[in-house]
Amino acid sequence: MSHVLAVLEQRDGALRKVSYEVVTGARRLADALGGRVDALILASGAVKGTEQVGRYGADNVITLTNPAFALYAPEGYARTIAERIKSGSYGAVVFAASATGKDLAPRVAARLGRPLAQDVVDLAVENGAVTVIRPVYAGKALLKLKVAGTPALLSLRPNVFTPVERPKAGTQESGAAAGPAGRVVVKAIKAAEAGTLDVAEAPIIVSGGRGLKEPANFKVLEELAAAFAGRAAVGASRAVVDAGWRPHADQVGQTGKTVSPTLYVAVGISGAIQHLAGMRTSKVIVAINKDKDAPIFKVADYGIVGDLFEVVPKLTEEIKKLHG
Amino acid sequence: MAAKKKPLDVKPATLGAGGGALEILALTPPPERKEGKIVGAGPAAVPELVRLLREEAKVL
Repeated sequence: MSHVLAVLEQRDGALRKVSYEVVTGARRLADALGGRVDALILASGAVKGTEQVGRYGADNVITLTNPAFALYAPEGYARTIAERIKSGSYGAVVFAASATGKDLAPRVAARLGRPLAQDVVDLAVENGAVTVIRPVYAGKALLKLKVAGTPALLSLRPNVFTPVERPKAGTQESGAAAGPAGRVVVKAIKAAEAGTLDVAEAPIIVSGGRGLKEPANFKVLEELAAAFAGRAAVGASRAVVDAGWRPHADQVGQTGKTVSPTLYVAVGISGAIQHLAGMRTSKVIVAINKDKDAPIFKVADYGIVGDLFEVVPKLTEEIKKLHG
Repeated sequence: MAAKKKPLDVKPATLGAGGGALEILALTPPPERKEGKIVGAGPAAVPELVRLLREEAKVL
């Protein structure tokens, strides 16, 4: 019998959305392995939403608290998780491939001397071994890997696994995580701008590129994003981030964030391969560009050829009508 | 030419802890995105785009 450990993420005492995706992925593995899903949360106190985790298939929710764990503490987190893994018979451990998870999962893997499959987009169990699919070469190819031995360590790309409700009468367990936070600690997390959605988590992204001509023109995109009633974030291509028009936190692409929203609207973005690497897994892509030969139209589901300064305000108006 | 006289020592590579635990089963190109369509040109195409997003893609 091998169980699956899902490592969840919290911020400010509330679970992050990606946590439910991790539980869903862990549930799929546990069903195939015939084991139980343990969801692990590290925090400095009680975390809101832990009772929700059972709805997505966690059998047991474990909250380990340490006064130093309010924010991510690389060494303390890694040590606590590695100890937990060693104390149970886990066939697999599932992390989120979020900014935190991409730092944390390799540390845990190193402590256990186990390989890690990072940024997984699909998973299965074949002949008792965990197999995963992860994109390589900036999304140009998919690699199918078999993880021999246990535990199989993997991290799931955010926004790829849709949380599926699989209610379980989950039990809750809490305890203290002993030990120091470690030599490196996060002192503060500065939100880029209050009230705006993180592009990595937003269900709708409106992205702008050099076609906007100057920073002030991003106003038309912000208006379009606002029309989606709080569900949309504004992203940017590398060109405009390098030019200092937009903060780096908004950059979508190989050197920025990898996103896969339900709807991605690329405005004035030509579609360089490095940009596509960050958004090609979006469910629906809309491109608005004045150059009908722009490569972005090759990946777009719907395109409009035209002047964005005429098309976008019209689109904003139409979306407002829908939500009006 | 001095390099040619150097001895060539061939050693077997050894895998460290956990080495060989990841096996590549396949390397495949990602699924092709289905051919998109240009809805039209200019702001006149916007209502059609919104209709498609609602009724065909069902994302709004």
